[in-house]
Amino acid sequence: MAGGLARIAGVAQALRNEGKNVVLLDSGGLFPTDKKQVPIRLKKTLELAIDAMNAAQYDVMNLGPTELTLGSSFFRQTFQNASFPVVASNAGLKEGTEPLGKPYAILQCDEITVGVIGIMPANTFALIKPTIKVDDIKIVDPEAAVAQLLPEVRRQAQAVILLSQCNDFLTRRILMEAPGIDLAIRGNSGSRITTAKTSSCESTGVTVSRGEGATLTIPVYTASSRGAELGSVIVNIDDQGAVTVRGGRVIKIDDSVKPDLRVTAILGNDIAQTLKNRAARPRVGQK
Amino acid sequence: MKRICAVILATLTICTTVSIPSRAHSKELTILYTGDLLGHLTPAPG
Repeated sequence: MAGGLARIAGVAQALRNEGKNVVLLDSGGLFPTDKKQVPIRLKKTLELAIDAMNAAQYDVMNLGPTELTLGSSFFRQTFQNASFPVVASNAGLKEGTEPLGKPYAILQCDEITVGVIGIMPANTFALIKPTIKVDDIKIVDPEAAVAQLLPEVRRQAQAVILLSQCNDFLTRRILMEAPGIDLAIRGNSGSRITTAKTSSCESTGVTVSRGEGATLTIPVYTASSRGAELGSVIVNIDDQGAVTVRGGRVIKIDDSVKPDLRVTAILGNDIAQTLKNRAARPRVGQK
Repeated sequence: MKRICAVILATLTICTTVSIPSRAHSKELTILYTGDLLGHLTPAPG
């Protein structure tokens, strides 16, 4: 069995085949928290994951705290073949070097333009305790970064999505203080580090005031971990540009879900064997 | 002449009003999301 990723790709492709506009997002936390893994072996596993994500047609990934555990150059080498942007709205490299990720992403999906902002906690290094020097990486206050970027993103996009690795409290505070975000998706890796808790694709809302007694509820979803579930939500934009978010649901990823054969072909039936086979040949498209 | 113009204008207004579709056009996007993705490489449950 190829695992959850092939089946997640299968769900996305089935919806695309039905003619639906689909955006496939990852809230971050691709790198494992287990620091005992040998970097060379881990790099091979992550490269395999990224090839599979390319085949699954991921649109955007948020940079999670764990992605920085082995430093900026390990991250950049691992992601060099990613065909999707990695957003890092409040994390970057110090002066004189290339950015770590994109400050935000703008996706053109048929007639809809979507902006994606991605944040991680300001105290990421205190949470992940990196095993190597990371003093070339600068993480700024996520609230300040969102406040600065949001007007620019809003000008270009009809709907704005926040991918957050920050805790629930901070994510909600950002939604309350930065008007213009239509929905938020929280990743698990941040909460796992701070609370040792994993949760399913649950949805809650933040009610914000929009003046003259009007209020608006911005939904906050939490991405599931370990490939057991896929979150799904529908964004509607009417002819006046008003955004409505509805139909949040959880798709169980089990044997009943048909896998995407392109992803299955990359992952194989046995990940360990696939990694062995890949080690024996140069990576396709390697720069 | 004024009366003819008024009739033409009224006819055009009615025709124009009728020809505008009343149905609002909305666009829809399905957002799928994951997290902690390395776990997705392990066999799915079930």
